[in-house]
Amino acid sequence: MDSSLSLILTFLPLLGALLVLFAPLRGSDEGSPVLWRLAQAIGLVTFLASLPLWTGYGPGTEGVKFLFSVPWFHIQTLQVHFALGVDGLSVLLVLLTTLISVIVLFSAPSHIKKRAREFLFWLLVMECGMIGVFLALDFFTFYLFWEVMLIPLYFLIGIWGGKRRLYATLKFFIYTVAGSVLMLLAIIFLVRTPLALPGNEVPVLTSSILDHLKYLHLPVTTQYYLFLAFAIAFLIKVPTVPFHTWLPDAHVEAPTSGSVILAGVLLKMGTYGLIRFCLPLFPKATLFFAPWLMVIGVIGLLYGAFLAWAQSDLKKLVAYSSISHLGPIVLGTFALNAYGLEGSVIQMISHGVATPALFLLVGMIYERRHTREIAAFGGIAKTMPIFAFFLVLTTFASVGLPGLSGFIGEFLIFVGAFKAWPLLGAIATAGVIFGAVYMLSMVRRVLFGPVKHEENKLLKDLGLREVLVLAPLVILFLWIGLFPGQFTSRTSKTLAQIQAKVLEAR
Amino acid sequence: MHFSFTSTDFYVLLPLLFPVFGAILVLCLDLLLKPGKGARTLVHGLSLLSLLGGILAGVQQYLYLQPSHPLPPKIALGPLLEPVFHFQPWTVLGSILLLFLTLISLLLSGAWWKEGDEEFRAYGEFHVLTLFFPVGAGLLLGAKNLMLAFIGLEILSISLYVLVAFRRSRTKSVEAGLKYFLLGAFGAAFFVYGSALIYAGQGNLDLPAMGTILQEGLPQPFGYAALGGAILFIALFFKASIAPFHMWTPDVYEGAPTPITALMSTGTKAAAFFLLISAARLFPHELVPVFTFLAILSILVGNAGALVQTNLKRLLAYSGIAHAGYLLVAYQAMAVGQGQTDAGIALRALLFYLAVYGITNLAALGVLSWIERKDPEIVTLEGLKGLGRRNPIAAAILAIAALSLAGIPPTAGFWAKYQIFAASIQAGQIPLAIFAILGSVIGLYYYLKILVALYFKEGTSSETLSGNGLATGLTLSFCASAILLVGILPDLFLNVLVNVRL
Repeated sequence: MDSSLSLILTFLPLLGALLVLFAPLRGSDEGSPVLWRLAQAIGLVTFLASLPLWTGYGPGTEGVKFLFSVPWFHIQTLQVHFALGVDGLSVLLVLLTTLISVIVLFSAPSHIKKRAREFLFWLLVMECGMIGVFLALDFFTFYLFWEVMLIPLYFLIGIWGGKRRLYATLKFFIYTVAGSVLMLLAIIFLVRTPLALPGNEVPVLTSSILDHLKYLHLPVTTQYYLFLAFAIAFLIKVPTVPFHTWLPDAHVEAPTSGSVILAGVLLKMGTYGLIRFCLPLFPKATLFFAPWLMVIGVIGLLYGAFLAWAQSDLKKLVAYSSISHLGPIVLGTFALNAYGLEGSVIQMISHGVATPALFLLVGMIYERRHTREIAAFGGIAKTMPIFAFFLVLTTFASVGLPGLSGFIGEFLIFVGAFKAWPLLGAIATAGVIFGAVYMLSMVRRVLFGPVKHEENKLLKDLGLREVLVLAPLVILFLWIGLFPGQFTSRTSKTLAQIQAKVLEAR
Repeated sequence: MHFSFTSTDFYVLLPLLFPVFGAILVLCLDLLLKPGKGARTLVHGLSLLSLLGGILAGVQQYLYLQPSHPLPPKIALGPLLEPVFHFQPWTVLGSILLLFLTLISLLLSGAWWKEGDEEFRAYGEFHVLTLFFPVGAGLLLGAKNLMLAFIGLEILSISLYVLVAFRRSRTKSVEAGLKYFLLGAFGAAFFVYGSALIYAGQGNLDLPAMGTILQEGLPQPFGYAALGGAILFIALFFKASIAPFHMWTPDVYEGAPTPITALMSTGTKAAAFFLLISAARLFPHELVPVFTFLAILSILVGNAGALVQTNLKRLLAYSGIAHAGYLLVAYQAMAVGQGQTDAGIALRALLFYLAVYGITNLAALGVLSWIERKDPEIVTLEGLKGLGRRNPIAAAILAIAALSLAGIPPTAGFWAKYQIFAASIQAGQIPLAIFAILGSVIGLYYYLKILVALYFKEGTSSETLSGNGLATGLTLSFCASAILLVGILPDLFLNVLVNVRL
């Protein structure tokens, strides 16, 4: 049971996707209610199936659990496995993925009004890909899911997106693939590097990520090149400045569900990859490049904040705020100390619940007013008090008010950054003020002040369904904010190992 | 000198003899039978059967050549065939591949015929000429001697000249035929001229002998042979549509009947690369930069040219030029690779790529020929719009083929690219590998344009658009399933190649 859970978790959504595609249900283009219920049930079951990870990977757990590995195919003498498993780095992200998928499935009927069957199909395929990326423990398994995941998102934005969706999808696809093919070359190089495994007299070829993490020793120059190949792929995916330009386009053109998935899960893959691969595989290169990447992280934080400040479109503002909030994750990761790394992982989860909530809120107001211009609102708190409550709370979580999730992540990251490079830590901490400035001024302009537009007087407040969709995310802000120990205790052992691996090389 | 054919010779040539006899039989039947549906079915079935027979004979030979086979291979070719013909695992695989590509093209062509066309009268000839294609290609592939290679090249070319111009009622088809013929004649002339220079240099036309001369680096005759080799290669580059010898490709692909485009784009490319492989040891190391340059140029020209195309056949023609570039990357790796292992890896990568590219391109063009007769507009990106709703199956097959051409997992195309890049890295050609892989990212743009047209755009009409012919539909489904299956379990096919070496 233990090992097959990983497998079930990965392929349950895919089976569900096929079920949805071929279900003999007639219905309009909007999809019959039964079809939606079916997909939602699949999402819920997957989420429930992922809960054992939380208990199974309890506080203080070390190493890989739920390991599932079968021989897949071989290329000459290289035996490739289909290997999945959970460790401290991936456990929270997998749970986040299954949760966000459920939320998307329940929030989507309000804005997906055409080709519902295809939508649900791609959404579930996407979930399979995302879970697979986090669980994969073999380079080929990883790369397969990494690439496969792109196609569903391509369709999600391309079919259900906004006016400039074709431009946005192409840009997104080509940026991401350009990065990942470089990573592919590096992977080809890695799997062709023989490793001296214990129990083998001669070095052997293996594509197991775990073996590489333990036994790979590369000359410094090789490490530099491979580090760059991996890092560029991940930095594009994060995205950090200067590879960030695909993100605002993708976010703005994506339907709300696409944005939620993008912000909630996909952007975490870049930072996940940095911690999973770049740090432990190429420790010497990591030490060499770490200051540069910390600077890139801070630039992302500041530049994203400035860009967000200048936006007049709500969704663009949230999109740029993502860039600003992901910068600290890169900063914390390359601070290379326990605070920075744990802060990064918490910040990933925190951003993964707060930003989707923001996108959902933006989507909800867009469905009512069909505009996202900040100037079109004002004084909405009077007509939509529940909406106002959620928006304020989410904004606080996002800017890092103590007691809410954002605070924990950012605090840990900045402590880590201070320890590693005090000046940069100071700049970064000061940069957070900008975050508060643009987010709070957005809240002020949307919610408070006089009601300037007639239309805004008649807006309907959030309904029960919308509140229920937001509720789990809000609970998570509070949970992470108040009891961060439950989360950090699960990740700390794994992160300590990675950190030790890097510092050994010093 | 006395010429005699031994029974072993017959055995070795069996995969090619099947289609030869099939073609002769079809030719006779076509004369004797009254034209009609029954005769057509017979002709079609007989052609397919003869190709299938050839494939089975090839498979039997391949199994026989395996080291694990209980009887050790003691194939001693007769005095006639021995000096001119290779009989090695990779040549056998090559002929199986060529026969297979022809078989699929012929199956796909079923949808292309339409009652009342002027060409319908030439149904038999179409089959005869198609059957001769793998024969010529097979001779080219097995040739150890340049004269035999030339004969193979001519058999192949002449059947294609006619087939390209097959739709006499359409100007484009005739124009394409003429273009292909004129440029092809140039190519053939280059081939002959190169052979003549080689003869001047080394005193005979054998490929292996030439290799030793070049390796020993004899001073005077060497000059002629090297020059001749270079000129000969131009002829092959022309056939494989490698830039800058690619100019004819888009026009000819566009004008030719779609099943023939499918056959040309896959079969001819494979045949040309097979002779390049035979001749791999022929050129001196100094030529490696030339291959590098041509690979880069083909990838650039192909990808850049495809970006602006609106006609799908032209788009696939340019994409074919880019793919020839990727193949050349592997070929270059084979040429520079140190020792047998590297060369073996590169050769396997080449064969795998040719097979995968073949089946993928056949699927893509097959979809077009499947629907073309119902809606001729389908060959343009404009006409493809909304196909995802009008004919989901055809759209899905085309989408899978496009993703495979782009090299996105889990399709076979990904593993094909993987093999090529791995071979290139193994041979230490990392800059070229990086260039090729970035080139393939440019390629994404236009493959995605196909997906955009299929799924993201609404067409002018929303009526269902059925394909023409069940057999074609099944063949296409087979191709698409094969692409996915090899994509998920690549060693199904890679294992076949394990023992292949030069």
